[in-house]
Amino acid sequence: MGKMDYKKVYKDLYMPKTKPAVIEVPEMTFIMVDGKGNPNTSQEYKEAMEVLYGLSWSIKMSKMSGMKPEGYFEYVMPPLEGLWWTQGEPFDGIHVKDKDKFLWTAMIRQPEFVTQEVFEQAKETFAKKKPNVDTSKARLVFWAEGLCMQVMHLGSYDDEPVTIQKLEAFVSESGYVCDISDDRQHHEIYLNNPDKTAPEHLKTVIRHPIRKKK
Amino acid sequence: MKYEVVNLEEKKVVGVSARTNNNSPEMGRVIGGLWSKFYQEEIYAGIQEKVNNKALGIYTDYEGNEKDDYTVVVACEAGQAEAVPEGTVVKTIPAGKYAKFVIVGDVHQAVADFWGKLWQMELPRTFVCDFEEYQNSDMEQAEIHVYIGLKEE
Repeated sequence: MGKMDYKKVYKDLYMPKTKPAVIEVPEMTFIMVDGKGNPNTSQEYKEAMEVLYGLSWSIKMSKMSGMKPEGYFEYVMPPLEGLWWTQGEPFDGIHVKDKDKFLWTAMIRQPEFVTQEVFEQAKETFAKKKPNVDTSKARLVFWAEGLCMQVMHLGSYDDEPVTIQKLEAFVSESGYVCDISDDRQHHEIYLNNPDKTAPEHLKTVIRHPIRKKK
Repeated sequence: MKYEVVNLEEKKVVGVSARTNNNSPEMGRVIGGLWSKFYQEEIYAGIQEKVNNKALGIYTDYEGNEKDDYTVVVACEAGQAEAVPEGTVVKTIPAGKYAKFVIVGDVHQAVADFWGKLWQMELPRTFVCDFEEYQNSDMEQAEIHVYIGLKEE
């Protein structure tokens, strides 16, 4: 059997068109790290990346350790995702004033065989390799995001507002309302590494929670 | 709703209890009455060896599932729970696997919304014991951790 590649198997989740579409997002497992501050400059975001990728890599490599988790299968590590909001007011992705005021959850999806026990094991393995990195902020979280509208954004992250306005226009035209709340935030999935991809070639899934208009 | 899966140790709690049902028109009054009693009749103040000052809302002894009768206990975690105030009960939150949810918001609205959403989820619930743990006493921006008993795989 080939490697499981979530992006290819679940095209509906990861490869939306540039025309917005409704999707029901099922329960998935994530490693999440919460933080605050500008992702381009804050030390906190940098540390979150180190922990997220470190733990995800430890889980992927656990097959080599003699501690292969039950149900392990070969897979391509799913992409980085982010939930974004600001203190006190819901963030719509459009009105970006001060990136230092961002609150975020950085996260990477994990394969179905990852349980709390597998996660704890990965923390131990990672702590041996990088004893100075604090993994205490990382959580293994189960989340069914539910009914959403999503769209593919092509190009620089700073140009997202135009795409988001298009997304929001589709939401209301299709008989829904945006349902951003404490538990369901503005959501982005990063399909490329911005350090290795020219801004004009970046692909980002933008997803907003919605509910039926009453 | 996002949740983590945690393994909890057994907890001994002391508090006041009543039996009710989510379909009962009396449910809100019964649970509200327990909270008033807990704080206004010196029950909280009288509990010895409190492990912390977090109040717990516990739902246990379900007859079947969320549609059936259950016991609600408003309580605090307490050490040995040997000498307890009059009119209180001692209960045990069993050790085991729980889904842990973190909710923030207006204390009444956020909790009501939580249970509404939980009933839509397909969790492998045990219906043995679930509980809310109140992290602060801020009524508008309350932080509440809710633990839902899960079946072992």
